[in-house]
Amino acid sequence: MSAPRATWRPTPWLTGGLAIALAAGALPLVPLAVSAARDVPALAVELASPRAAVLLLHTILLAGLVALISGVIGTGLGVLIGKTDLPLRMPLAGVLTFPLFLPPYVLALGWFSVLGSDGLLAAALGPGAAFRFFFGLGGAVLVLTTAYTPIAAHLVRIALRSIDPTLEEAARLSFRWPRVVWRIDLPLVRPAVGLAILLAFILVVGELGVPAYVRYPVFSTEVFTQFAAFLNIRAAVAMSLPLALLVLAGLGVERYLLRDRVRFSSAARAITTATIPLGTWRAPAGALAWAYAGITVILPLVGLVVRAGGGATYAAALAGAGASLIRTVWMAAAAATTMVILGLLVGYLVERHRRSRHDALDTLLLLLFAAPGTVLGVGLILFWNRPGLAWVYGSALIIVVGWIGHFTPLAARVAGIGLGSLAPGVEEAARLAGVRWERVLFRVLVPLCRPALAGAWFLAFVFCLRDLDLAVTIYPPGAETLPVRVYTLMANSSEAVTAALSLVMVGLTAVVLVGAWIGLAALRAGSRAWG
Amino acid sequence: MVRRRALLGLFLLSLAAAACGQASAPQVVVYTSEDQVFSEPILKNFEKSSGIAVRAVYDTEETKSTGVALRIVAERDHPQADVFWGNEPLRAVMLKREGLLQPYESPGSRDIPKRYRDPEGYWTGFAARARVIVYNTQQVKPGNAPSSVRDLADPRWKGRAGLANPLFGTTTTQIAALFTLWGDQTTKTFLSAMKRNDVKLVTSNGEARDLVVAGNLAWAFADSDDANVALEQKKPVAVVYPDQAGLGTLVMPNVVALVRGAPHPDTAKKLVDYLLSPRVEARLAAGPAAQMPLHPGVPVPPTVKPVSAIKDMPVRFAELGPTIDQILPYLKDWAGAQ
Amino acid sequence: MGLIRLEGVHFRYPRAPVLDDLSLDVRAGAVTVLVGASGSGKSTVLRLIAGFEPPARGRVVIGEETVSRDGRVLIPPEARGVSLVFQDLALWPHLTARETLELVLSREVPREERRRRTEEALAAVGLEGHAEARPASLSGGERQRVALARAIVTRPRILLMDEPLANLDPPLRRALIEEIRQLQRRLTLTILYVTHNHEETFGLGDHAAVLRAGRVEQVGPPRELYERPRSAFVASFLGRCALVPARARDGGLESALGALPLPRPDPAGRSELLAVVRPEDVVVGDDGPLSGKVERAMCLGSAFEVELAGPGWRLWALAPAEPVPGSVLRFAIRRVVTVPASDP
Repeated sequence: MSAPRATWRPTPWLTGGLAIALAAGALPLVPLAVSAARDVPALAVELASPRAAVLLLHTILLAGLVALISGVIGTGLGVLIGKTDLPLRMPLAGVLTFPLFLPPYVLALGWFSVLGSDGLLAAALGPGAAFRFFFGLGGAVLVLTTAYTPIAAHLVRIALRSIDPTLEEAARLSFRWPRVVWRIDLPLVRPAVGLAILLAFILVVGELGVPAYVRYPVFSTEVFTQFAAFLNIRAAVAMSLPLALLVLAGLGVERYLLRDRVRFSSAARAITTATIPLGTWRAPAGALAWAYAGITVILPLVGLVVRAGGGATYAAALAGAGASLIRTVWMAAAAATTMVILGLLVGYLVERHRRSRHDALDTLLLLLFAAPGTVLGVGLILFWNRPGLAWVYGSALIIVVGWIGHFTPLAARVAGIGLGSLAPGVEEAARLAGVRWERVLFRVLVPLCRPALAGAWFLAFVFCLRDLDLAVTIYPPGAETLPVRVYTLMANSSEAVTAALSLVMVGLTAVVLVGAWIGLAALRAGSRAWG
Repeated sequence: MVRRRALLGLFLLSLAAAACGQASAPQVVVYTSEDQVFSEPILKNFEKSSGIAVRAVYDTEETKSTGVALRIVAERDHPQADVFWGNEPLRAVMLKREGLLQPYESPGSRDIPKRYRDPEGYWTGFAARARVIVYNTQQVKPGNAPSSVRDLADPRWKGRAGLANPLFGTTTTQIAALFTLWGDQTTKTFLSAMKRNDVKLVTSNGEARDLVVAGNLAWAFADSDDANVALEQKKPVAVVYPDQAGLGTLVMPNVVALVRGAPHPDTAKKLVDYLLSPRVEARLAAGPAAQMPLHPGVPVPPTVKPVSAIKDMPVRFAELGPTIDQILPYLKDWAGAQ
Repeated sequence: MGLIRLEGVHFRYPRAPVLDDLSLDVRAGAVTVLVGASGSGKSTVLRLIAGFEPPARGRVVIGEETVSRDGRVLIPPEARGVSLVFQDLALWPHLTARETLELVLSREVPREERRRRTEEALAAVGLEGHAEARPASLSGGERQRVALARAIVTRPRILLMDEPLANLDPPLRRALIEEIRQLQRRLTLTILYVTHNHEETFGLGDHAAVLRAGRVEQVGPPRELYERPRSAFVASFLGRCALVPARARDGGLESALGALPLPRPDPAGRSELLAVVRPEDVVVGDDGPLSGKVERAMCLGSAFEVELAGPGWRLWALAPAEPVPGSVLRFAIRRVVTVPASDP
C-alpha cells in the first residue's frame, strides 16, 4: 500500500485562485465600508430622517412589487418555454431576453415612446389614451418588471431540466400534467424561483435611472447625490449601508423560506425530461406568450424604432460604436468565463458542503452584487490606483476585475442550481476510486450540470455587456465599453440618435449572443466528436 | 486535453493583452464633461495637429452617472488625468477647493474677461452657453411667452413648467447664482413658491427639452446648446434669453483646468493652450454646439448670440464656492420633498 | 386472453434496447415475471404499458381497449389504471410518506376516505410509524415500502414493478416477496414484475416470460421453464447448467459424457441437440459410472458447487463437502433435458 492519500479537498491552486480573484474585486470595499461605518453617526440625522424613511419605504415597495410580479410571470414563462411544446419557443426565449440586454433607462425611453402623450398609443387612439400613471410607481413597476422577468424565466427553464424525469412519471400515473407541474415540478425548482426573486429585488434596490426618469423617489438617489452633487465619497458609501441592510433582509427571507428545500433530487439521468404536449391549449398559450412578448418587448422597441427615424441616424450611431463593441465583447467573455469557473467553485462549496462559513461567503458575494456599481467602482479606484499597479488600473483589466467582483455571485448562484440537484453518490463513487478532486469536478460534476453552467455564463456575459455604473467609473481613458459609449453619445444628441443608439445596443448584443450560442453549440458538438 | 490547454493559454493571453496597452508615445489624458458630440472633434483635431495622442474620459448626462469630477476626486492619491474640461464652472470651483487643481496661466487666457476665470489661475472659462427658456410654440404664443426665471413661480404656468434637478449639472450653477445675487432669504422664498407652483423636476436638460418638444411641458429651462439641437431639427419650439430686462441671462463658460499631479504636465499645458485658442471657440460656435465665444472678435454664425449682445448675469463664479456648501443640503431636501 | 396484451410491438430508443416484434399476454389476477439480461428491453416494456411512450409499431391493449398503437398514445398514463414501482423508486423528495399517498389519491376521492386508504396502505406495508418521514430520513427498505404503498393505494388494476427489490438484503427481500404475494392475493392484483433474480422469479411468479434481444423467447410457469426450456438461453438463464453437445440416436443420446437418458424426442425431430445438465441432477458418489477432474469449487453456504471437467465436456455438480482441486470425482447423471443445438 502506498503512503496515505492527502485529504480530499479542493486543491490549493484552485482555492487560491478563487481567493485572489474575489479579493481583487471585493477587498477594496473593506476600507470603504469601515470608514463609512465610522461616518454613520455623523449622518445619523440624515439616515433617521422621515424623508429617508419614506425613500426607504418607496424602495422596498418598488423592489418588492417588481420582484414578486416578475417572479410569477417569469416562472410561468419558464414553464411554458422549458417544458411544453409551445410553438416557436426558442425564438420566444430569445425575444423575451432582449430587455435584459439594455440598461433599464433605455427601456423606460421605449415605453415612453409608446405611452407618452406623443407616443404610439396616443397617435393610434388619440391624446386621451396616454398613460397618466406612467410617471410614478406604476411606470417604474412596468418598466422594471419587463426588464427583469427574463431572469426568472431562464432560471426556471434551466432548473426544470435538472429534475429527475422518473419523479414526473410517477406523478403522471396518477394525475394530469397541470397537477404534475404544480405539485411536483414547481416545488422542486423552488431554489430557482427564489433566486430569481432575490436577484430582481437586489437589482431594483440599486436601480437609479428608471425611478429618476418616472420621478418616483427612491433611496438609491441619496447615494448618487452624495457622489455626484456633493463629491463626497465617504458619505455616499455611508448612505449605501441602509441598502446593504435591505439586501441582507431580502437574503434572510430567501434563506428562511428555502431552508428545508430539497437538494439532491436527481441521480445522473439517461433520459431527458418529458415535454408537455399542450394539445388544444397550444394555440391559445402560444398566442398569450407571444402577446406578452409583443407588448412588453417588441412594443417598446418599435417605439424606439419610430423615434430613431431613418437610416442616417443608425449610420451615425454605429460609426461611434464599433470599436467599443469588440472591446466590450471580449472583455465580457473573459470575465464571464472566469466567473463561471469561480462560480463553479463557490457553488460547489455552498451547495455540496453545507457549512456556515460557506454561507457567509455566499452572503458576502451577494452584497458585492448588490453594491451600487459606483460604490464598487470608487472602492476599486482607491485600492488599485497605485504606482505599481498601472498594469491593472490603467488597462482594461481593471474593468474585468471589477466585473468579476461584482457579478460572480450571479454565476455562483446559477451554477449552484445545477450542482445542488446532483446526488452525493455521484461524487462519492469517484472519490472512493481515488480520482483527484479537480478531475471529479470537471469530468463528473460539470458535464452533469451543463445547462446551469451555460446559463451562468450567459447571464454573467449579459450583465457585463450592459453594465454602465461600474464601467463608467473605472474605465481607462480611451477604452470605454459599449454602454458607456452609447450613453456619452446620447448626451445632447437628438432624441432620434438616442433611440438609434439604444437599438444599436440591442442589435449588437443580440448578434453577439447568437454568435456565442452558436459557438458554444459547435464546441459541444466538437467535444462530442473528440469523445 | 491539448485543446483545453490551448484554450486556457488563449484565455490567459487575452487577459495579458488587456493588461498591456500603455502607449509610450506622447499623450495627454483629459476628463471632460462637455458633451462628447462637441468635444470629441476638437480633441481629435488637437491630436492631428500636435501629434500628441489624446485619451479621453467623457461624461454622460447629469444623472446617468456620477461624473468625471468624482473620478478626479477618487484618483487624488495617484492622479490619472492631466486636464479637466468642464462644461460649467461650478465643478471646477469644487475641485479647486478640494486641492485637486494646479494653477496655470495659459497665454490663451489673457483675453478672457476676468469674470469668467479664476483670479488665481486655477481654471479658465471659454466657449460659453446661456441658461435659456425653451417653450413649445404650439402651446405658447410669442407674446405670452415666459421671459424671466421668476416665471417658474408664476401661477399661470402651474404644473406646466420644467427644470432639471438642481443638484446636478448646469442647474446647480443657475440656482447658486441666484443665491449669490438675490441672497438667501429671497431665493429660498422663490424656491418654495416654485414648489407650490408644481414645477416638474426632470433628470436632465436634454430631457427637459424633449418634454417641451413632446408637449408634455409648456416650457422649461435648458442650456443654449440643448435648445439649439431642437431648433436645428425644426421642432416646434422657440428660445427666450430670460431676464434681459432685469437680472440678465446666466452665461456659463466651459472651463479648462490643469489637474494637480498630472502625469503628463507638458502635453497637458499644450492642450490647455489649444483649448483656450480663438480657433477652438470659433469651431464650438460654428458647430451644432452654438457656444458663445469669450475671446473678443471671434466670428460667430448668425444663429449664435455673441456674449456682448446679451445682458449676462453679473455672477462671479470664483466666489460660488462657499455658497455651494450651504445650498447643496438645502437643495437636496427641496428636490426630494416633491 | 390476458388483461394486458402486446402485439407485434416494435420500439427503439436512441442508445437503448430495441423491442423487435414482441408479443406478450399478461394474465389477469396473476403475477407474471419478466426476466432477461440487462438491456434486453424489460423496463421498456413497462414504460410502454404505462404509456410514457408509444410503440413505433404494434399495439398495446389493456382489457378491451387499445391504449397505444403505431406511434400514438391513445390513452394517457393517468387514465390507464396502472401503477409503477420504479427501479430507483422515484420518491418525491419534498413530500412525506403520508403526503405522497394522499397526493396520488387526490383526484376524485373525498378527504375522509383519502385518509383512511392512506392509513390502510401504510399498514399494509408496515410503515405506520414512518408516515411523517421524508425519503431522505428513511432506510432503503422503508423507501421501497413507500414506493410500494404509493403504487397500491390507488387500487390499480395493474401493478408494474421494475426490479423493486434490487438493492435489498436477502432477509428483507424474502420478507417483501412474501408481502407482495399476500398483497397480490388479497387485492387480486395483476402484476407484471421485472427482475433478473431467481428467488423473485420462482418465489413470486405464476408465469414467467423470458426476454431476449427484444423478443419473448418463452412463456410459462417458472417451474415449467426450468424443467422444459425451449432454448439454451432460457435454460442457462434460469439456473446454473452445463450444455453438452449431444446427438439423438436410437432412442438415446450420445455425447462426450457417454450415453445419456433421452427424456423425449425433440418435437422438431432434430438430432443435433444440447443436453442441459443441472447440478442437482449430478449425483456425486464413488460408485458413479463417470469421472471428472475437479477444476474449481465454490461454497454456496448449503453445499459446494464443483466444476468438473473431462475430455470434451465440463459440468457442475453439488457436493456436500469441499473437494480437493485437481482430484478426481466419480458421479452419475440422473437426467437431462434437451434443447436445440442452434437457435431456431
